Amino acid sequence: MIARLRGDARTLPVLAAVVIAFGIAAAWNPTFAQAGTYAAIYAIAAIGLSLLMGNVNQISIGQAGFFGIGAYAVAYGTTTWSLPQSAAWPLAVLLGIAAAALAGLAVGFIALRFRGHYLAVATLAFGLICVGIFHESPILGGAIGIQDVPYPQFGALTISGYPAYWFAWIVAGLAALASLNLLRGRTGRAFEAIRNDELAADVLGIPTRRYKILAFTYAGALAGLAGAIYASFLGIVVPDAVSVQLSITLLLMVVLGGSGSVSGALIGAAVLGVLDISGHQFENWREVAYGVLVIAVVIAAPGGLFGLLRRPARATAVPVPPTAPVAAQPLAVRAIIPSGDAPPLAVNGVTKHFGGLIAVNDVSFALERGTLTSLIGPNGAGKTTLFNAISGVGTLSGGRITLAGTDVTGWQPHRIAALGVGRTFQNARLFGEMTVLENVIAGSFRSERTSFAADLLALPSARRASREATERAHATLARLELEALSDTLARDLAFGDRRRVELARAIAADPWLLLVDEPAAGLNASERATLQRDLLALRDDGVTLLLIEHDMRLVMSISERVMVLKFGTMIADGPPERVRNDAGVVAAYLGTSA
Amino acid sequence: MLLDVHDLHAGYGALEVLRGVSIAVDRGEMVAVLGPNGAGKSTLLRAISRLDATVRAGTITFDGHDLVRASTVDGVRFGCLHVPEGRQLFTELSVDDNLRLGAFTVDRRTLDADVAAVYERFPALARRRAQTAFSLSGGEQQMLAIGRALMARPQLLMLDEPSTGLAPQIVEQIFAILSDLKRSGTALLVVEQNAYLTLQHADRAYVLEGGAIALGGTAAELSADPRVRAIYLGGSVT
Repeated sequence: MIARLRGDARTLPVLAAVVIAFGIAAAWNPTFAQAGTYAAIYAIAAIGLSLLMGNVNQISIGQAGFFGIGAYAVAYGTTTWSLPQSAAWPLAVLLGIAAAALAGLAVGFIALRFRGHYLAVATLAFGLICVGIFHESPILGGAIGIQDVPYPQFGALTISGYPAYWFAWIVAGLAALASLNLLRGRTGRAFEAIRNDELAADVLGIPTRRYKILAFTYAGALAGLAGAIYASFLGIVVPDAVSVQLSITLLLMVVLGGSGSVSGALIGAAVLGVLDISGHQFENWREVAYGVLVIAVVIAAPGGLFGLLRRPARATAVPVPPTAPVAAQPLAVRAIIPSGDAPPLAVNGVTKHFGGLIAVNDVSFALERGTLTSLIGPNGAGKTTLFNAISGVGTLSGGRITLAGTDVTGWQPHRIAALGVGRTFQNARLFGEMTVLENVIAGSFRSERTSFAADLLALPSARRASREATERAHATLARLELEALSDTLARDLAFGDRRRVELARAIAADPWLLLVDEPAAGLNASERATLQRDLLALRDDGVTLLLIEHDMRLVMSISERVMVLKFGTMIADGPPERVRNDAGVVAAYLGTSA
Repeated sequence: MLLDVHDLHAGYGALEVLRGVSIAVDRGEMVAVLGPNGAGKSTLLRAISRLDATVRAGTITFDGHDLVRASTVDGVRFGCLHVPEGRQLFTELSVDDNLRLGAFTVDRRTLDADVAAVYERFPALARRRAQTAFSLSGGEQQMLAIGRALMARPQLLMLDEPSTGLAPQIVEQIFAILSDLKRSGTALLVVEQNAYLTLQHADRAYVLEGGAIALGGTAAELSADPRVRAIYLGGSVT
């Protein structure tokens, strides 16, 4: 489980107790009961938004649009269909959720094109479009909306008034549990990885685009559900009720409670709900109170009210002394290359332009399996660009890339990773807010087998997948002698350890081709010796390695083959000794005397 | 000494890049810092000009001022100018505006005369004064970056990889300009990968390796030292 979700799971029973106590107290006070009911309804939508904002790092100021879709679906269905209410209501609710989810899917696709404040504006526009459509549709009642929406009915039982409080909170509770299940499973780990570092998540085989769309869809579905219940209990839906004001209120709830947690969303919705009660006396001051409260929370506790409740961050990990270099031993990576004779990596005429600049110019080479090849060259030679090309980051300007016989030109990074290609980055892109263990678990994402539905319902298959992924990650950490760091947050790691954890994450899913970008940068002598040992052990396990490195002593002593890039062109390729004495290479590195 | 860096430890976050570096530059001197990628050359300049590199320990003294306690702008006021890697021009502004922005810390009354002096030194820039910096060739952009730094009337000019991305002839031109600046009294600290060419123009040089000074001496001594090549390309040091 992601470390920050532990507090979330522990807080839910406490919140449940508060809800029950408040419910009992409100039995004699209809105003309190009604405010509590609305708090539950808004909480359902806020949970979805919290997940979207805090777990996937996407913002939406258009949640009222989805809320409105759910509300209007129920209002329209229950007032026009010639079905008994006990059948019409559930059908209309399902229709509302489905329509809102579909809208979420569409917004998710659009959101892939935007970031930051542009995304905020795009979602805001979505909300405005929805209100406009509600307002202008005669079948939805135009500005008057839909009146006399019947209460939900189960057999002879009609739910309204005080029982609605309990009904709404049961639905909110179920939504909270399902969301927590989702976050604790493989889906949640993918979300967390995306939030921390999208590019790194992509090259580990996590389909980041798909998960972002999923998050929008899920948040849309929850907002639709909230809207459906809202329409049922208020009995009337008007366009003004689902305007931008509601989107902003939901946003305030999430920020106030603390985004990225289920409990935070519940707390935020509850606090603003209570403010609503006192709002009867100080109606005109309510917005001012909201605003001041939110600003105070953002300043004093960026993690929201839930962030305040959680225990303070763990102390920085005790640095572990670097392990002494020992004789190379197999790391037991199961490097299983799919097809027979094809080289693990073949690069044919690969070219990459950035505007007028030719970063990689017609480069071709093939690697033999189980070998260690280094790619060197002065700054700006195009080495990392070539790595990006191989791992599917960005598009090629020309040429083809073949991995073990499969032409992967134009593939997305996560599909290339899923073939069995691992990669590390020049600046060790770990998931900083996740522990070392969670980082390594994310590394084996592509070998986990579970589904979204299994995650949502915490089915045995999802639990088993999580358990197996954890066991595998422990084994990988043990192989690299990093077990002592398991529970340390990645951002608290010493620099040398960061590199080693990144290597562990890259080999967690047993790659047969590993691209390592400047692993020795910033390491001290003993850390370099350990790195050298680990790289050689991987090679001996049958992994094919391609290494970018500037430490020439390391390059020359461990590589079987050295390739040299200069201004994007391959100027030398051969055994280390020959490359080192090549006149062109000497000139590339040291310049010429005139 | 104009610039005196003593036992400097600096880096970024958890990463320690410089592990006890000491260098000095005297007035009117051109000193080169050489070394392979990742040796810490740029970090050294970024620490001296108090940019993003964090100083952990050690001292940086410039013209009697303690730079460790100074801000980047203070450094510019004292006359310690950094021409960063990749030029970092205001690409959408004109050549003229780029130069004028370089004079933020000095007396405004001499502004026009200072701009004229830069144009006199770089006639190529004078011809393009109304063009955007973006439209200049690589060599002209490097000249503009140097010209902009000169507007602050530097005592010391620190250049990070002035030869990057330039054709050999243009690189020669840039180094001729640097030698000219030295003759007119500006001290220079030049960070370069292009070791041989830099050594032809510099008075002294240091070679950084793994965040520490591996070699130091006069340019003539280092030009003949086989260890320089070994540091760049690995292999036995004999």
